[in-house]
Amino acid sequence: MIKFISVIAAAGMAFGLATAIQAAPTPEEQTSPEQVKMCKEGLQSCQGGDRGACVIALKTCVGVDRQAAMKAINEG
Amino acid sequence: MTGRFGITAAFAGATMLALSMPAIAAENTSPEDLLNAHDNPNDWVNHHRTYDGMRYSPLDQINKNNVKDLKVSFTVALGGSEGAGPWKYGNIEGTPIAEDGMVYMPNGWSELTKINVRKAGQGPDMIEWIFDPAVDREWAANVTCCAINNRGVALWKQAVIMSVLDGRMFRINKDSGAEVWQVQLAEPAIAETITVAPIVVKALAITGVSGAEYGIRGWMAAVDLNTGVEEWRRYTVPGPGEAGFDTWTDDYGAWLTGGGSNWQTSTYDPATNSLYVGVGNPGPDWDHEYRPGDNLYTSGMFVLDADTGFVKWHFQYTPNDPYDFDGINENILIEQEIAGQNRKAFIHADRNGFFYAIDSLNGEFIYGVPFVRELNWTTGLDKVTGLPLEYRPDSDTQTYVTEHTPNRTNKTAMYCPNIIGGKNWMPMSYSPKTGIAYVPTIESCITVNNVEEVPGPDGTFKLREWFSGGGPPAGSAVSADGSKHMEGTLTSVEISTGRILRKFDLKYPLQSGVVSTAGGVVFAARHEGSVCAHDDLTLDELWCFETNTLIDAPTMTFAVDGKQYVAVGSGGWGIMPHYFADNQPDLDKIRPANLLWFFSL
Repeated sequence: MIKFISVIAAAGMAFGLATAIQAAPTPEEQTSPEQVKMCKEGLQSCQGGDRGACVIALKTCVGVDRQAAMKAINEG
Repeated sequence: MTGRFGITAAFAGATMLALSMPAIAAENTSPEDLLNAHDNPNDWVNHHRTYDGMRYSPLDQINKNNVKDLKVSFTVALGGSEGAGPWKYGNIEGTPIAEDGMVYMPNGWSELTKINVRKAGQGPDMIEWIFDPAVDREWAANVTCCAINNRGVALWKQAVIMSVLDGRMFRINKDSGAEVWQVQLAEPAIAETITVAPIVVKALAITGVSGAEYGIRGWMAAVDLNTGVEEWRRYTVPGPGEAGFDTWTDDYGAWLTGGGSNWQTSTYDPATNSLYVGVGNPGPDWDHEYRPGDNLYTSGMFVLDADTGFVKWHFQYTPNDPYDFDGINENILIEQEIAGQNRKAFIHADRNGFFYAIDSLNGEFIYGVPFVRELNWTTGLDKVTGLPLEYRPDSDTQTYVTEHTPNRTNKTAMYCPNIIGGKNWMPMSYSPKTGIAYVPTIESCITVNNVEEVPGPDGTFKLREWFSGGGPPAGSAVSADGSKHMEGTLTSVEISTGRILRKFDLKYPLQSGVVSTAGGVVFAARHEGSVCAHDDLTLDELWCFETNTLIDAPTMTFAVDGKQYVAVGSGGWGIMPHYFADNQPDLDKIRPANLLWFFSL
């Protein structure tokens, strides 16, 4: 019985840890893979001077990628 | 190319005028202080005073019996009346923050003044410092729909947190007025600006963005206050792969210009770690056939996890909104008896003219009642879902009452309430003492012409250009029969029943926020310049003072060393004189004077 409770407790701790990790999502985890792709591609073209791509990046990126898109559109 | 600011923490661009140093270090505003603001009657440390957004003060030194003796105690010139872009003057829409005798108030250009109330009457010694973020004025003002605004600041530990029109957020040292960091969050190059006061939760400052009339894709963003680094960003218009994206059913990317601004400060429930966020109109405003689908989360609200920004649930007031009925108005969190049951709920007076009570734990619709005199865009709300009765779930576009809905078929339509709503951003107040909400109300209809928007060859982008799908012709903001100009009321709503109790008639729309107090008084400042007190049960006028200038800013109250003050900023030159001058010619005789007024007994 004690062993069973320990297993449950360990599982609960593991779940708690997982929950804690999930509580701080990465920028990619904050959005969808489709938008991450749009962001990355837009940002790359934006940094190459494509202003329309900057707009796509600015409207799909989060975090440091969006900061990079803002920098690029203002320097472009 | 207009000069731009750095995008990481930097000290460039801002100046600070240290006029005197305070005798003692400023209070350290802990997260607990913000959380427990209810227990601190003297101060006003959150934008809405408390996280629940009640704008209710437990102070009662000024009460029904003595409010007639209220007098001007002192005033502070706020500056910032200079116009830019299409705007004739800078506006004042801030709610002051008050803490231990210090008051923090920005003007529309975000020049932030720290005022030492204990030194009132000592000339410049009263001003601790003025922080000027050096806003990129023309660049930002040319893409702000609705005046040059900053609606307020927030406190966190030894810092003042402020967002500014050109899209930056600042952390400012509370004692010295020196900049600690700044970060660019919104990008005016794509018509994003910020006018909302941030809300601070734990170690995050959370803000929204303006620009739905210029084709932005709205968002909410949270910044780590220790580092100035973005912690999370949640777009208010879902994109591919996200829940709700199927409510944008076109094939040319209307979601990318889908609007969904946020320019009213969110409320927060610490018990569930939930932010209650209002979301603005979809873009283009009046061409809803451009953006088929319900257009989540626009003209509605969503509930976000404060730590991650993840969407918990949502409620949409006006799906596929054809009227510009933003859902940004505040969601006040209450717990009281409603319809015979004790409920945790939020109350919300929407631009669409309905006053809503909604379960704050699960989004269940409780009731929705018209709070304006004229409402014709729908015949009512479904008693179960809260959706307009004419809503058709099988249709991509919603015409509601067809004759009152502008679209590509019905090019011109008159509808009520007005495009600026039965209530705009100006916050209402809820008194837990009376169980009544006090709503600053706009009584008007309007005629709108639809103009078809066409997707561009490079997508849908019309950068920094007006993207509204039409608009109202001059002089069309009148009553349904055309006999009255835009008017206003102070409206009281009994929350337990949803019954409209009283309407106090006003010559002009009530354009400022309201505060209610334990003294049984409701303060509301009128657009034409009167600061007034009303009885919280009858709404009878108890006292008024004429400032002889325009007022758009909310009234608040606080106390220092046992003395209660009522404060309000004047100097409004916002949407009313800019867009509706033809309907209110008298107001053109009043010039804006940017002042912060302090009243006391």
